[in-house]
Amino acid sequence: MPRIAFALLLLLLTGCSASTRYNFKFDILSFIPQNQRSLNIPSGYYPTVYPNLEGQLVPLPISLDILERGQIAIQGNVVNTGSIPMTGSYEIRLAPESDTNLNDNSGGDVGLGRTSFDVAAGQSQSIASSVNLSATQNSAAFNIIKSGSFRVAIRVEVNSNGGRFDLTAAQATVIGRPFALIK
Amino acid sequence: MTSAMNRLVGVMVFILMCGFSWSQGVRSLGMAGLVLPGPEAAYLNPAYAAYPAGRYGSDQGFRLPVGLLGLLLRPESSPLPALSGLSNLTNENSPFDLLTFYDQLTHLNEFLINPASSRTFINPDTGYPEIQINVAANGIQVTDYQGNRILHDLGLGSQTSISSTKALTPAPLFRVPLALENNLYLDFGAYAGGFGLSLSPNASLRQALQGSQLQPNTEYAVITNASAQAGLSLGFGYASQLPDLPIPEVGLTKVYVGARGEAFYGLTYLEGNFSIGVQTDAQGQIDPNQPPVYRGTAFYTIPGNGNGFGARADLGVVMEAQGTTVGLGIRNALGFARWSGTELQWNGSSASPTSTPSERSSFGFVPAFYLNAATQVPLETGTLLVGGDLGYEGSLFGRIGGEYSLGPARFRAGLGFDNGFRFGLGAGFVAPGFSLDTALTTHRAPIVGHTVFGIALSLGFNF
Repeated sequence: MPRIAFALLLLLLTGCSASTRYNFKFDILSFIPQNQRSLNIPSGYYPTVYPNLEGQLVPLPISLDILERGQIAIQGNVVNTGSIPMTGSYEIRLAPESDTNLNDNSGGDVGLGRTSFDVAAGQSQSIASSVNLSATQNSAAFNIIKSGSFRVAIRVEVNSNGGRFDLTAAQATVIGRPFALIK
Repeated sequence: MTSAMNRLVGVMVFILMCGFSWSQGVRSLGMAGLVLPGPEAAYLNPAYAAYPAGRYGSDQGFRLPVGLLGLLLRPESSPLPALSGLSNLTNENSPFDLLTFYDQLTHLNEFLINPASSRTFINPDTGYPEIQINVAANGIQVTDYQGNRILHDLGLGSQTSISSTKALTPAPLFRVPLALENNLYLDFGAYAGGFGLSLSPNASLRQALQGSQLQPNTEYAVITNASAQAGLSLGFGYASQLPDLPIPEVGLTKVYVGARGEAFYGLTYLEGNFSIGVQTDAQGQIDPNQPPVYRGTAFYTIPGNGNGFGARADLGVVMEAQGTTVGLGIRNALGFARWSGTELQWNGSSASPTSTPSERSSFGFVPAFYLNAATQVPLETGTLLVGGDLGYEGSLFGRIGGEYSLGPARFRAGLGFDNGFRFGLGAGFVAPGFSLDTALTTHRAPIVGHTVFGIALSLGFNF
């Protein structure tokens, strides 16, 4: 209900034409508490889902079929505090609001933009990923954000003897044409 | 309940349309809203009922709904393509612009030259209008593509209710005066007006939309205010010219006095406010699972469900010396009004209100003052009328203006304040049998905020 109220509010408050687009930009990082924006990586093989298995809920006010495209972008740093090279990969996990396990490929969760890294001992490496979502690009993920509120997480798999993963930016952008509501 | 709400909406639309068709005369609009002395001002000052007609011209034309032309001829505002399928209006390539449609629809008796348009929001990089909505844990910001904030208030008319105006009913749509003997007269009229509708964010939401952080335990809401009333009126008045009065240094002065008692029978009444919002938690965040908060009260009367009645007394005096006329009218010198109807209340998480029979009544001295003056300035060619007025009806308003006549042509201009600064510019053409008047109008564009210019037109017949 609050989402509908919010959507109504926006539709009422901002005039629009048939070609007007609404650009929703969600600062996902701001929803993650400051003290959880950094992930400590223990020694050995360490697979994890950050910030947690349920992911971060992104409350999308418009749950109707008006979205044309979207983009999810993250930025961060991988810090190797160990004495051997740190190797691993990360990917963005996306799931509908109803799926509370973003690591089991069931209930709707999907993985996007898998990226590998290799950080020398004592070094850090900045990472950045941007994934476009539309009917033709990553359509499974696009269908998730079209269905309304969604969850987002990052799955990290690391082989090292110690380090840290810092998230510095996480943003979801969705673009929709409100007049598409009326068919 | 639902059928009552439907009837209420129907009545609101009727009152809105009546408000459009009446509005202000185009001659008056050309002088920024100035009303010159004459029988047409008898509603504002009952002494004018005895004042000779035509001394300062007249404003008797019918205002033409030229806005309909604008609405239908302009592809941005025309809803006609929807007749062969709604998708013709809403598909991506349709020129239809809700903002242009809204602006022209709410100004049906003006042809808007530069109506509000979503084109203001076109991002040159993408070629289409964009509204940017930034959502973070601690705030929501709505801007255009460049990050400029967007105006969030929509309003129509001005709010009135019996608590503020007592028995002062809106200006009549029409009046039928019947002269009786001994300077007495009766008049019948119908009124529909006092129409006000506004939609605005509450103070907290306004701040939040401008980029401030959400505060803990605060309600963020959109508020709607609405008012309207319609009914029949019956006036019984006395207006007379008294013997001329010799006033030192002024000379012989003509004096007119008038008093009127007016009773009304009210058919429809609405006053209400309604807000829908969300409450932040102790951390200043909005819980997506929390239901919205509805608040507000609405009191309404519709035919078949209550009625209203009231009476008020109006007084006036007009003096004229050395070619200058000055009049002072006091309406609602004493007024009483009582409406019975239904009260709806929202308080909490339920969208359906509680409904109880209720009434509103008011009695007292809440006068509306109206002072106006005019004079004719003789020129070598043509004649010039200049005048001014000053009034108080809930708030202060005033205008100065003039009309220059040259043969059949009339040229008008005026300046005033009335809920903000306004100016008027107009012209007219008077021919045997008919008169045509036009005026330039201005208002502030909804959402986008620029000044919108319009043209009003009226046609009068005099046989």
